[in-house]
Amino acid sequence: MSQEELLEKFVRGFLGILSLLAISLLLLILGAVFWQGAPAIDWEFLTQASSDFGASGGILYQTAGTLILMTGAVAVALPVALGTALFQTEYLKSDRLKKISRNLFYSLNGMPTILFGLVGYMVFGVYLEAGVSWLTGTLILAVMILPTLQVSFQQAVEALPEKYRDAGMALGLSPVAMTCSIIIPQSLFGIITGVLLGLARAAGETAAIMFTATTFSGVLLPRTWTDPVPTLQTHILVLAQEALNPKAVAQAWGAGLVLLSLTFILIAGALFCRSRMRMESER
Amino acid sequence: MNKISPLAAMEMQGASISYNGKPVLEGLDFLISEKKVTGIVGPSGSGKSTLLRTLCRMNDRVPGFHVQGRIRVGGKDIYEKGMDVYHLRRKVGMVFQSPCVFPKSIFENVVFALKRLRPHLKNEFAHIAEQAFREVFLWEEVKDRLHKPASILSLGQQQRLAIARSLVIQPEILLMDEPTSSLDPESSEAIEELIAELKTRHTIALVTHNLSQAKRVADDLIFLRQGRIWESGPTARMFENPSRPETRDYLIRRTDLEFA
Amino acid sequence: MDFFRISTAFMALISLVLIAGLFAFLVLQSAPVLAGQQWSFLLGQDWWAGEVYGALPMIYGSLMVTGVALVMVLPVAIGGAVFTSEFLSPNQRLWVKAMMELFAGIPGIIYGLLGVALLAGWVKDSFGLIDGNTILTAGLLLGIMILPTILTLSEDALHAVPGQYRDTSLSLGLTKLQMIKSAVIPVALPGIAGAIFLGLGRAMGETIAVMLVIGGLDKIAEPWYDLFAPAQSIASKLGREAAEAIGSGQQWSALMALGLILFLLVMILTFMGNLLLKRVR
Repeated sequence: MSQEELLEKFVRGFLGILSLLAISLLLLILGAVFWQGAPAIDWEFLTQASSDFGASGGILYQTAGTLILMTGAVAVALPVALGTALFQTEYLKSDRLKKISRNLFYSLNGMPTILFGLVGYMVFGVYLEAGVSWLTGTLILAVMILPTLQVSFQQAVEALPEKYRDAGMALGLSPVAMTCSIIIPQSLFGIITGVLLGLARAAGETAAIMFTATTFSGVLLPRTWTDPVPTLQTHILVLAQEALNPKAVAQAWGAGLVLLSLTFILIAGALFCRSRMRMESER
Repeated sequence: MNKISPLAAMEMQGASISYNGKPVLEGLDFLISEKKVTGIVGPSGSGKSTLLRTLCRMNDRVPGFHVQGRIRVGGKDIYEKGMDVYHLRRKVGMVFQSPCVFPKSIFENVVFALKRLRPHLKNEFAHIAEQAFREVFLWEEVKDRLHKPASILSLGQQQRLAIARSLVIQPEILLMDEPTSSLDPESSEAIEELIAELKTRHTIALVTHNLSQAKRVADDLIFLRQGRIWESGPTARMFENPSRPETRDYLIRRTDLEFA
Repeated sequence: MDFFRISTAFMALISLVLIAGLFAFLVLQSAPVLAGQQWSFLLGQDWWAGEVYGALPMIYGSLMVTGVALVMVLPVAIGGAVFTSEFLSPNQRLWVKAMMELFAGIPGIIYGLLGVALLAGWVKDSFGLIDGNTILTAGLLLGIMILPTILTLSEDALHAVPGQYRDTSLSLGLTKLQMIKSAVIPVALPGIAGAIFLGLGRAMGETIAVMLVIGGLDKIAEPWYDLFAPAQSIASKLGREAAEAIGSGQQWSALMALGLILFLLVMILTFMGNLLLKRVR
């Protein structure tokens, strides 16, 4: 074996070990959450209300709160994101404006989420008088995931093969008809990808909602627009800080495993839909 | 420079090339003579580029690519186990269809391989570079702007730069994959003249879809059709008196079309 | 003007207003404290609610934890990216990419839980500290958090290097390693830098995970490079105090001013990151 080949083998091995380290670090995290969380999980844990300040009982209402906030956020953000994406792909002709808005959305996507919480609370909670409530949280999360949805949608619509559009134009379709009968159906997988990623992002968010939308105890399901809700994220946050109470920490791990599973299922779904989208556009 | 000791030529014996189990080229038997230009022609999709790339093992990084039979360069089987593929590629240079210059200066481009392969010659780089530029008739055009980005050159100049970049490591054989197809007629002519000059010192295999170019430049011709070598021989004979009707159809009718 | 056009334009307008509004709001709300204290807000080292607000310890904390995260994660992320792009088969590559995307979605609170329950204890025991909540702990946690982002984005940059550069290098007889070093990495470098910037932006804005393990002390460590000292980052300060100060008063205004600094820092990082990555995209 020549010196060159030997060196290549060595470097390759070294880089391989680094990659393995990266993957095993992350697998270690999954392992830890599963290992610590699995004992807490049983049917009661999933279907009962928490009691004893979270140290016993289940996480039913926390799960419900998380689901309410994330679906609410997507429901609000979806039309805005879709409208923005369509305006950019169908009407905006200036490349410079497109570039600027793209940069804005990418920047918004990188914003620290806590800032959405601070400013969002002032706008929705104080000025619109929604207070600390699930409505405020939903609106804040909607703003937060807006760029995620918008970027996904725009990519999906832009990836649409020109022939579909041509076919629609040739039939003399109006923009609305074109959107409803060609653009949206044909980029459906891309739109679902964006929705799932948005759901996952909203489900995993804590900083933006912890002081604007949630409560630790007292409320189970919201009855009015301005009730706060318990969520998995903030439940874990509170329990995690009770280091002296092993029962509380065990419950936190259980809730963590549920939350992690939820986000993983959503992201895996998004990855699957995106691969379908690629296949569609390659046809 | 460029004193080449054992002169090398290439040959294939019963070789076949497949991709993911599907044969691309089969029954390849031919010999490429020393210090001559061998043209490889054929309809698009007939495997011309694949054949060329196989000769310096450029397809190694393509997954699913497989070669059988004997393929020799300078008498050595290049797909044999233990073959030093890097040494092979230093002996067999390759020039690609669209000129590829690195996002570096003109000078950095021409000494690109020298810097990595012959670092001990550092003091002579300037001299070697000048000679290579002269060899490709580019010196006068670049001597005042050696340290400007190579991207300012025209495509024709870039292609000659790419050839110079291959020449500095003194290959015995040059493989050229449609080197003029993305150039304007004037630049193409310059490259053709250059090829005629280069063959006094190098063995050249030239893939081209331009039959009049093949006629002008190539000494021998290999005609590929339907995944095999349909016919091969001296260029003059191939054009004047081909032995198979398909060769006549392709070479003569197509050439007429080009001139029309 | 048809209805459809007006409605989509309206939606686009909402998006723009939201972005502009975020910035305008931070500026407006932080005005009282910034106007009152001016530079002493940025350079002050004391933060006494109701009296004086100095942001320097938090700026220091943010820079320290992001710096530690970067040093920890860089070799692994870049090494992994080179390996994935240059040595793995297309199929294996897609698996790694999918895994990284999955890992990038692990919620911050999960990292926080891991940090509190496991990492802080580990740091405390292995370095013989009294308290495991330190700059190092937060930096380590952030490093792992941004690993998938940096790895997968730098891999994109490497993978996007045109095949002709690789072909040309190999045809000149360069070894694979020489090709990677002299043709692939230099071309991908802006993209890799972009990936790092985006990762740093993410690290700097992370609130929950850092808040739980950084120790929450508004003080510059002595000496400043003491990684085993507790500290406070901008984001963790916001996370800790937002609830108590919420909505009004000087303290709120001071927090908003901190938010403005964070906004600008992250904005610069993300903007540069996206600018550098644009060639890749």
